[in-house]
Amino acid sequence: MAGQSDPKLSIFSAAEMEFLAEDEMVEIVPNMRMEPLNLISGDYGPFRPQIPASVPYWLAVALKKRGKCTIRPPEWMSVETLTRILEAERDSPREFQPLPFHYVEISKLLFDHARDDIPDIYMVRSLIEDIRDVRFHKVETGLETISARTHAVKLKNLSAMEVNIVRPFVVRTLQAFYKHDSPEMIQQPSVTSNRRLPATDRGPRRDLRQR
Amino acid sequence: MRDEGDFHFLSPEKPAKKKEIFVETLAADAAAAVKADAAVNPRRCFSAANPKRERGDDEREREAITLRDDVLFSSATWKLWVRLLPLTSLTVNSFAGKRTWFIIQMPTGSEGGSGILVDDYESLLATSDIVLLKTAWRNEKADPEILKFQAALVQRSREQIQLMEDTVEEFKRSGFDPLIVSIYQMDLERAQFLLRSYLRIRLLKIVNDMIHISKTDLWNHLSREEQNFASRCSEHMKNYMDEAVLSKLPSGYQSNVKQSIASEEDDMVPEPHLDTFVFCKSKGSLGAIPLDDSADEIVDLIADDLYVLRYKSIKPYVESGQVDLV
Repeated sequence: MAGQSDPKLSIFSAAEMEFLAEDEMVEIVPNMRMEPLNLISGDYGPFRPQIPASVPYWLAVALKKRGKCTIRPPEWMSVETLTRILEAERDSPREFQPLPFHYVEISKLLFDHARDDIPDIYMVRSLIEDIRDVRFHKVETGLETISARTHAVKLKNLSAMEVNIVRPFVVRTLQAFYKHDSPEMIQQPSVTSNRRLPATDRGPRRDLRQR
Repeated sequence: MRDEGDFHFLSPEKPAKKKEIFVETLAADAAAAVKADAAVNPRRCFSAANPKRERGDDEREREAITLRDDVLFSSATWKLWVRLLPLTSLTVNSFAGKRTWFIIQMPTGSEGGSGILVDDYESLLATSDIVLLKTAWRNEKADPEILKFQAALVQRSREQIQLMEDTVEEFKRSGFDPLIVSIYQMDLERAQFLLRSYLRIRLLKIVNDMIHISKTDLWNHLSREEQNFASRCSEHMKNYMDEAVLSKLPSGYQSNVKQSIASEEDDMVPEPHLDTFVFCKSKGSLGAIPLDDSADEIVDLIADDLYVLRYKSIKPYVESGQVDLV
């Protein structure tokens, strides 16, 4: 039945998602002097004490680990902004608030390596966790509305990690509907269709379609 | 995509000639630049991130593109860069120590030609090879089918990695600050990881669908090395299956691609699952895209919004690079 699709559930591992996120830029305030770096991924620097410089997260974390800089948390990572986002997130059950594409990974990176650079870290941390929970709840309720008529799903502002986590469910659901929607499947309704969740089964079936 | 060859963006009608002029001009400029090196202020100028285009008073009407004012080359390796320049100079930068200034002059034959060229340069300026490689890697990972091998991109990334390896070695020998060496090392490792992972995911796809790939147009999506690998791999697989199982079956059931001799076509060949759904983002507005064969359902892709769509319906856009898989 629908179980014969791709056995690989996740195409990106969490580590790979973090790898992607580490190329995002962040501001650091170095406490040492260093000539500009000319790397494959770009040019950064020069670094002067107390003069902010913009570098990718991997470089910021590497310098931070050696005590060579402080990281300036991104603007959205403040209690006010996050509180506002959380409220908006709760108020609009159908929409996702705009957040950086890699916000989950970036906040994890900073919580792991730059705790002392984030003001109100406990508050910020719990706010981000709340935002994540609200958003995942929305994705889950969104999944229930997928029906046989769904040919495309638009997920504005969904972040990278969220995409990666919901991907197997969304893809399998859509695939299953697509498959059961095909003419030969409808002529011989399968036994499993009785077990579908009531919420997913609403709405009249669309006309038979040429395969 | 911009990966057909190092010089493909030059006017397609007369590639050979253009290439010559281009390299000549470049060589002359390079020589001049090397001489002028000492006179030029070596401070990096980040303000000029966009190419400046100036009409010279030369009657040949050249278009001068100053690349960020700071495309730097090690004078020892500039020859290599001349070859790679059209696509790499923008991303591979100087190597500490020896620095040379470059201004690249493009002879422009016709307006149309220069248009293509400048467009390409502008899009290239916005993206470095590593970004392109990352996109290629993501697409390849998320795509159920094998995509076209990014030959030029892989070649460029390889040479950049090679050069960076040499640079890091040199740093180590000359006793640079270990912090700086370790940063260069990290950068190098990130690039290597991307390249390896890109090549590996392709090998995985080849192993999974080798017979299907060798029977279809997908064969042309493979690099020569991958083609060798695929044919050797399917040969070994066939020999193994013959020895282990197939030769012991009754005649008529001995094919490794057909269930029995009665099958009219190869019905035991695994194929990529094209009916699957993928997460994707469009780079620009693409207008209405039909979602199924009958075209009665359409979707308007808005740039940068995330969609889940059936792979088949956006396949041509993924292949042309207008839509990125996430």
